[in-house]
Amino acid sequence: MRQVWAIYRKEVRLYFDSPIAYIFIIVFLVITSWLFFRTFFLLRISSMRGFFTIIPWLCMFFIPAVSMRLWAEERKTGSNELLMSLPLQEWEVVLGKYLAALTVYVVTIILTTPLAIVVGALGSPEWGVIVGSYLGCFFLGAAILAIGTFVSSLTSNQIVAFILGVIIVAALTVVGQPLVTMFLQGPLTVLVPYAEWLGLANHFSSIARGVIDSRDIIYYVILTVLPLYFTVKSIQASKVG
Amino acid sequence: MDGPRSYWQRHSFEIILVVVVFVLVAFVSERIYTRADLTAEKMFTLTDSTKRVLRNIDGIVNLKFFLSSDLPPDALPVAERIKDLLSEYEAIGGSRFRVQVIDPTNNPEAKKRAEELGIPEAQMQGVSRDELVVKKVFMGMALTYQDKSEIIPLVQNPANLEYDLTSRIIKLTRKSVPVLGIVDFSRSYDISDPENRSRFTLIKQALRDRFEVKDVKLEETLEVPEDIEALIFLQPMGLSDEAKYVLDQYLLRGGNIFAPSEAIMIGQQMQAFPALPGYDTVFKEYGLDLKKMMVLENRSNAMARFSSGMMIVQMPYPMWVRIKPAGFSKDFAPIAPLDSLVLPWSGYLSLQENLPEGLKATPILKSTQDAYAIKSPFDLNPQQDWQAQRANAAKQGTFVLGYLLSGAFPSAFPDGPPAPDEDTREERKQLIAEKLGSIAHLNESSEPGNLVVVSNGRFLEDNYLQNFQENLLFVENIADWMLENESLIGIRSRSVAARPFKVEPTEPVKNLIKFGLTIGLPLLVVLFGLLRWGLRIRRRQHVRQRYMSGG
Repeated sequence: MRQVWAIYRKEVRLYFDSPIAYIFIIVFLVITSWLFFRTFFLLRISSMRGFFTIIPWLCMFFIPAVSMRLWAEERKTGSNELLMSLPLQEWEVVLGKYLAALTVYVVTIILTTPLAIVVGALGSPEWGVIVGSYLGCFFLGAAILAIGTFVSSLTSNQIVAFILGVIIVAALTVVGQPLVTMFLQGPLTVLVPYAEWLGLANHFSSIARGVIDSRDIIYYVILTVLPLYFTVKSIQASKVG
Repeated sequence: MDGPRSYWQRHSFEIILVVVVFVLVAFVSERIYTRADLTAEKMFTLTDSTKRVLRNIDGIVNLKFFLSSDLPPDALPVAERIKDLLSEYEAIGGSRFRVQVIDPTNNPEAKKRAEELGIPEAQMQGVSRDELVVKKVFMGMALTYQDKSEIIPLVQNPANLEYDLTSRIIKLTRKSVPVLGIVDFSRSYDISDPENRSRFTLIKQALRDRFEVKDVKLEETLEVPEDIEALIFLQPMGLSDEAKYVLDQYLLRGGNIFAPSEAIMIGQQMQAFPALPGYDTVFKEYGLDLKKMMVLENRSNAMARFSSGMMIVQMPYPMWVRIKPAGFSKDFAPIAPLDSLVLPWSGYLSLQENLPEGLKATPILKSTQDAYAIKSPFDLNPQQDWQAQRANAAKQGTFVLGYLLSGAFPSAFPDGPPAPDEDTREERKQLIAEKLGSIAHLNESSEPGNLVVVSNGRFLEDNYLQNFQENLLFVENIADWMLENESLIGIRSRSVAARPFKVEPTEPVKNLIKFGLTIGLPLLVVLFGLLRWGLRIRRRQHVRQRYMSGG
């Protein structure tokens, strides 16, 4: 784990020494706050629901923007070969880089907590729901980031990694929505539960209500661990190539 | 050549194995799972009854929730709550319970479908940007199972939605229809009426429209047919001891009885006096007393019409007690959402000090705390001085006008079946011997039963039901519950607080918060970045200087 920690520290420093993390955090904060305050004072309800509803849709674009450079850049500059020549195992590098990117996301989410403080100051919100929603944000972000990491490991072009990441995450987000399931009628009705299970946003909305369900947690763990496993395999494959 | 493709090929077995393991984990997790509800009032914890009902659905129940997207702002949190609860049903029901939310706004086909199903476009008002807005919206549900359907035309208050939904799912999916028995002892007020018609024709017809109903001729047959799940009494005065015994034993065998019991009798010439003993002599043995004093409410009452010479006058009448929403028990879901119930010339109920062991008493109807009770002789004059009546009342405060007794009942006939009077006709004696002799006497309940008592019998009569239709809703809900109470036990009404602002910030404060968080906070992040950048440059210069000086 010492190697993981070393990689993690190096990557985190890299994020915060370059404008990447700041641009991500600032744009995320401006957009979420602006969208939240469009209706907050109009409804006069002390709830953060409006904020958490937009999170899956924002993560769909923002997180692939962070993850796109994780491996694609290394492949383009060839620094991955240098990295892999070090006495490190592939999974240690993958995990270190992934955790560093996750830290950027977590910091961003933590920086939205002043919204919760405002909501609490103006009324008496359901704190359980807010805590659950933040937990949901964490799991959702972790899963999307893992998918983005894997996609980034497949290409040396960051733009391709971004677009591919957005497409995959968008597909996973909408697959469980009524927009899609309503077309699964007749003999395809049997597919509805599977589509709903796959839906990233479905599991998020469940946690965001303040209900922690082991099924949602396991879903997110699977959707985080499996892409990271594939990332390791992808790195190993590129190494032998 | 050992390239990436051959790498994937070589590791294909491992990769497939890992994927299979994850699929298995997902599969198992869908079957063995646990949930924690973090909301303050456990808003999303469905009762065991609902979970059982959902897990036992044989087939698929489809729920279509027609919900307009352009709701007034006040209705938005309510709609969210409803959708949340539906998601919980889906989560527990799995593939057996499917929910589809349909927005009929700008969708004529969906609008037509909703109206065909019996879901109307309802008018809803709310405040938007300090203006009162009235909108026509859809907010109703249709549940379908095989070829059957149940409708909730308008869901405005999700507080009772679990009860409403679960009871409808039970109705849709049950294999056999439970039977409601009606025991009607009433006779026409008009003594010249050759048919001697019942005074409860409307309630009986309404119940027939909703349930499988059987008339039970209790005095003639001295038995309750076996397929009767629940019994409703209409005017049970002058019951024979034998009929009381049959009812006692029915209840002890797990029966369900709704007994609106008359405390005050009103004569033809509008004289009022305490009612003669009826079924109240039986439930007295269970620990519940029917007090034959009249309850009055100077504020919470209904309007009554009286003829005054040539004129018909309508005026608030304190002797017609109106139960307001706060008077309906929130612990008894079937009636928790009701707004009103009118009980004309009502007595009240009181529990004895020592309730029999195993019996639970729940007050389900309460007057306001401003109510008072007067003793006989009763003056029914609508134009009397009510303040003086109150000042001279025998008792003041909150009165319980309805009780639910549930659990294990002791028999009101501990010595066994009552012996017939000596002057009883021979035929009757034979009937008594045959029917009562065939009952294996119980001294205590073999199965838990339910007895709902209201201290008023006439509120369901045709002439009151025509004016106070909310009384019908009360009885229908009680009947629903009695027929399905095993499956609906424990479903409670949930408070649905919208959690509005405690303090309304002024415009400058709103702007400060809005711009502070939308622009100020990101600016702080920029400042932090610049500070870090500046520190890095300084550190770099420092290092450079050290090397330079060292060199």
